[in-house]
Amino acid sequence: MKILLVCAAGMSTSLVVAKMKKSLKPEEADWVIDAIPAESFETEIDNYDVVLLGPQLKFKKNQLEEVAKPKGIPLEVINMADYGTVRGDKILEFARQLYQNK
Amino acid sequence: MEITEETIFKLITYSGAARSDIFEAFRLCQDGKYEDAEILMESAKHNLLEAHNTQTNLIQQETGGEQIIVRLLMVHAQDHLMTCILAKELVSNMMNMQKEINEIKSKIK
Repeated sequence: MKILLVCAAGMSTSLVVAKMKKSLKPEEADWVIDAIPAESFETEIDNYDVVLLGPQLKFKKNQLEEVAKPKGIPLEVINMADYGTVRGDKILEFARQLYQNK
Repeated sequence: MEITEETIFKLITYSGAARSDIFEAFRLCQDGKYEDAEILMESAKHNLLEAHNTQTNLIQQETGGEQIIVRLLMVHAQDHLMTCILAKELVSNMMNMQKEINEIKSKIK
């Protein structure tokens, strides 16, 4: 699975990505998790299966969903508490569920 | 003292969530949903205060003589906070302007 994290600058989310990668199971070793700034969203989204937004981008959810929905790519905002405490494991589990339920 | 990742992320997350609420509030204001907009601005104020207090604590520790190591991520967190404080000031004024615009529009119709 390929997971895309989008935030304002792609910086804080890079740390979240690092934590998520540490939580991958051995059979998930080939998964791709990347962080990008919102500006690159439209050019990058086609390369991914699931999109997670940083809580700071909640206000852009509808706008980004208009791009993701027709492509059948699930998109959700990361829970603020999980993001704030950099719970890579919980955020990864959130991505797994989004992908399963799509 | 090194600022913990937890503290830095507290700054980023609270400021970021507040900024998101502020922008959403403005969109609601454009649609004439003033009460919903106010609720979001209140939530933003609360989150921004949390972020601000986090930074104030750090500043107080430093002025109290503690040597604080600043990482690039901390600079980024303060960027989030500052942007949000500015957004709140500007959007508050813009919301008042928007209300006047909406009123004028309704009179023209």
